[in-house]
Amino acid sequence: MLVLGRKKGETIVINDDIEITVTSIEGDMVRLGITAPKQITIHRKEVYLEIQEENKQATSKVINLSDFLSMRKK
Amino acid sequence: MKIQTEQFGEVELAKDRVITFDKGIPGFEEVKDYVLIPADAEGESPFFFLQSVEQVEVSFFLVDPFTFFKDYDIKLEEQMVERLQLEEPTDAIVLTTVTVKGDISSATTNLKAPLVINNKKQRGMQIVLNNKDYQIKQALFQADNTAARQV
Repeated sequence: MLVLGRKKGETIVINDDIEITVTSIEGDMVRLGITAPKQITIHRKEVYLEIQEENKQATSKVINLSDFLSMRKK
Repeated sequence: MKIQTEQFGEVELAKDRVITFDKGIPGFEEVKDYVLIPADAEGESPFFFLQSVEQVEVSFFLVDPFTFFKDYDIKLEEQMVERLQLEEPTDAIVLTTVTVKGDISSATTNLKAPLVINNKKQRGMQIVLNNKDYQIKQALFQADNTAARQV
């Protein structure tokens, strides 16, 4: 892993088209501003991992469809 | 085209029903092509399956979140609109995954990360909302919903 020291207001550039700027530092909280091309998706990692895990559990084999079919659109 | 489905066995569907998630779905990044199948033939149910065209075991159980959460509201960022090639808001279908552990009453749905599908261009993606009120594990059957259904 590459580790860089940056101060508030300083930026790093990744691959010519992604820029990450430290916008504020308060205690142990750093705010980052990210500029990236549209096709790049950016996630908070812990949220992304949680969603991956949730998707794995949302597969249809675990459900008993007849339980759900009694419900109708409102 | 014939598709093997987890829930209904082999089904025959028109080729233009295939929806492409060009980034896949988190946890299933390599699986791009799906079909959306209503849970009941009459289309009365708010539940759906998103079935992979290639891998029968990849099939998500989904719900129309607006049926259960009347105030559910999502704002698509410009970037998402462009990526999905959405021209009209009415072309978008919003569905959320359902997880059941044990009893049906414990079912939860992921309001934090809905699947958005462009019904005209057959493109889809799962987006992550910034709204802190929306939970990854939101109980599907809230007390007030249950009450309403029993009336």
